[in-house]
Amino acid sequence: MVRGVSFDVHTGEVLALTGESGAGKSLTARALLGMLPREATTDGTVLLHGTPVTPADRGRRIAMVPQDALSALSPVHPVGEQIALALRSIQGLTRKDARSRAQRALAEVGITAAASRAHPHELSGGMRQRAVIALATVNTPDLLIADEPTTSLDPTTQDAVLTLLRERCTATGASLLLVTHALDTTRSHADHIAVMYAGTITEYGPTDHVLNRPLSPYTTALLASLPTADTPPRTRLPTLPGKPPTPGETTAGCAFAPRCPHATDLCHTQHPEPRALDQRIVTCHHAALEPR
Amino acid sequence: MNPPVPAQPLTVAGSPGSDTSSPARPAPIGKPLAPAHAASAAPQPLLSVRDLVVRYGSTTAVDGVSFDIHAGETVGLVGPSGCGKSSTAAAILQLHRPHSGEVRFDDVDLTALSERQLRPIRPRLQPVFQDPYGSLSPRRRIQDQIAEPLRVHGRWSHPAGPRRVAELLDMTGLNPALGSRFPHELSGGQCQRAGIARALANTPQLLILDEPISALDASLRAGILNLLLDLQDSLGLSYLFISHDLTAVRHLSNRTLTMHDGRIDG
Ligand code: SF4
Repeated sequence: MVRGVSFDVHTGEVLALTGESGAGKSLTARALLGMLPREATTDGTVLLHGTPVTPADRGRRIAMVPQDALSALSPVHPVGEQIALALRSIQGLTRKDARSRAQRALAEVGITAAASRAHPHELSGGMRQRAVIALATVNTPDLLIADEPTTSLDPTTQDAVLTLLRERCTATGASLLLVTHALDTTRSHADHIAVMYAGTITEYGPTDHVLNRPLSPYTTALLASLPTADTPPRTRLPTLPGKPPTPGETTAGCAFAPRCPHATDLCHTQHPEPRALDQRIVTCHHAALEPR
Repeated sequence: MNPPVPAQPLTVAGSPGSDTSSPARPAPIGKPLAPAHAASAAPQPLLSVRDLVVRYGSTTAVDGVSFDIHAGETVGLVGPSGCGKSSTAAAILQLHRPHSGEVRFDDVDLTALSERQLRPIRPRLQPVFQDPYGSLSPRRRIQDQIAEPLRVHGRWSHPAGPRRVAELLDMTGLNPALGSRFPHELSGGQCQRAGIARALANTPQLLILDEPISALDASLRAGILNLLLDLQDSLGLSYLFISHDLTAVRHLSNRTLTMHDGRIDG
């Protein structure tokens, strides 16, 4: 369902892994965490600072912020206690030290001492996600994977939580892999962006290059279909014909070929290989720098 | 594909509150509106909400909201979740009866009507909801679900009924062959189109669009926005477009209202 995906997350940077539902973003993220369903098989390597990732790294070198904060928190303990517990089990702190460190970690995400004694269900969605961010960064992981961390929050809170997430990563030296379906949120929150379509990365590069001068036909079409502040009101927007393939569906050639305005015979018969182009890696037979 | 439609701002001539910098547009074609209003120079608003208060138990969800929607106009309603957008929609539709205030539709105060009196009016204002799969029954064919409002209001006959269903499928950009399918066999975008087709069955004047594109993937959103614009141009529909996607709202709407804590800002 996901094939030939390769990417690097540089130390201290934010990489956004984006794409529509079924493109394979979450599957890729879960493969990194070793959290795939039992029936899934994987091939390939995940290296963290040059050494392979082992299951024991979960929670230590790699931490996770899920979409649903409640799934990461225990319903029966106050959030402050949960963070103290994580500190004791991973770093072996004393009860007292763990408690004060937890207090500080929560203060850093804007949760007061009083709120740290609250149970998860007593906090708002935004506050819960802040607590999860504190929990995920408290043991200073090398890589933080956030899977749609703000999708269930309302738009005004989303930006604040993403800004905080990035800030905490910078403060703790963690790199951030931000899995998101919302292309527009990557603009202000990611250094690099990888756009997935049907299980492969079609385009990977610096965020402003990809969003302002896309090279892959898929990225180009997707961006063209989204209205911006500059789109004249009520004009008809360019649309992509057809729909994405269902996950697992295999194609002889490029998976985007049935919807691609630039598809040729080659596209329908042969998978494109990733190539380097203008600081980017593009998986397309015909992507070129000069305008088509 | 949709036929090319000239990009043209849509306003109702002389309507207060509409964007007067845009050129006036001829009266919408499609189903005629109430003749008295169509002929008048300063038409009555199609929908007039006055001092609307909506309560759920002791919680006040909407706290004194007033606005108008004119024929052929789109009013956008944005705001954070829990601000009262959807409660306003439910109260306009009389799905949840407001605590106080007026909802005048075509000059009739819906809040004063009984369920029985509302029945003939309901087809004229129709909701389209966010979840395209959730708003359709999973066990019934698309064509039967589009036909349902016609049957419920005693407008089903042969061969006009099936012909109307085929017409509605076509109007919403769906292949008539999809009519015999079940919702799970359709994409999210196609389901949302089927939902719109059903809402259009009894020729409504006002659609309450509650987050109609939020559950859709980016590549399918533009198609639904284009469809809504095309339908408005051809049928003269009015929209209340509720969304948290501010760019999409601005793209579609003549005016945008922002809600916070049950009130409209500004
Ligand atoms: S390989 Fe061909 S079909 Fe695929 S994106 Fe490039 S041009 Fe389009």
